[in-house]
Amino acid sequence: MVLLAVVRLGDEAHGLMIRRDVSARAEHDYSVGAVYTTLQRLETKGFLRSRTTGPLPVRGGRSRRQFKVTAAGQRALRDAQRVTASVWMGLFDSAGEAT
Amino acid sequence: MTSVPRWTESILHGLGTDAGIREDLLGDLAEEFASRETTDGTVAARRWYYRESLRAIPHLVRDWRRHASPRDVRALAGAVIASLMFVLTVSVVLRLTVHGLVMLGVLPVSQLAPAAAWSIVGLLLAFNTAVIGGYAAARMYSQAPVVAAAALGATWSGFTIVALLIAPELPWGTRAFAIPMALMVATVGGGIARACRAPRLRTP
Repeated sequence: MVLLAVVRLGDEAHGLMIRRDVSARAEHDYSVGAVYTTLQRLETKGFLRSRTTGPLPVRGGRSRRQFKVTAAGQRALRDAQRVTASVWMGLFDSAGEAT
Repeated sequence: MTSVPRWTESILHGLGTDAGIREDLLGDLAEEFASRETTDGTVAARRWYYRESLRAIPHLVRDWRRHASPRDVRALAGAVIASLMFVLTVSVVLRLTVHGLVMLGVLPVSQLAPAAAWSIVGLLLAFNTAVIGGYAAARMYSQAPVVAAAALGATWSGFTIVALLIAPELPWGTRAFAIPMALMVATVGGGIARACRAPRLRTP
């Protein structure tokens, strides 16, 4: 979900916006710590890369870290989509009822 | 715009996690705080900040643990042992001082219930010593002062629980858990006091 949020947000993909997006879509309030732990793990795996902006007064003089999905991250997303589609295949008919 | 609660920020700083993730997290908290202050008011924004800071603590501690090298762990253990020795010395000196003052009549101890009075004096001394010990541990392990104070508190509480268990009479119930918990809170309080004082932790 975090990877998808980074793709969706594009240039606005920084911690704060990612957390808001993921929390809104999952209808669950994720903590700042949980999101950053996940972002760090994804970056370590090579699915994301990040860059920092200059210091911003609204952040107490701290810089903002912006994220972008790498080619490896996009491959991981496509694989996850394919696996999810195959798992769901045949479970529900066209009317949305379980088969 | 009000500034974020500084002492809460110092506590998060004192958890010794990776500087990158720590600064990103603190920056996000500050930015969200500013946004919420505008829409919901200062009181609601502060309440949110405190709640989110509490929720961030387990992640930061896990991050410190993940990145801690064997050298860091040895340094932490050394700080805990050194501060335990320091605390023991302070405790003995304080108790001898109090006993001396009582014997000289400077410090009156109730003649009606001397055992109860001594228990209270003992608990107060232990609490003060715990705060000093937490401060000392935090000072000795400056890369993660709050973690060092918590480690000292956990070690000391563990010893206290063992001592209570092997005591001739077993004071189960409130006393069995209140004393170790009070020691834990006091040492962490000392560590937080140090984290808030350390000049390099003050944000611009």
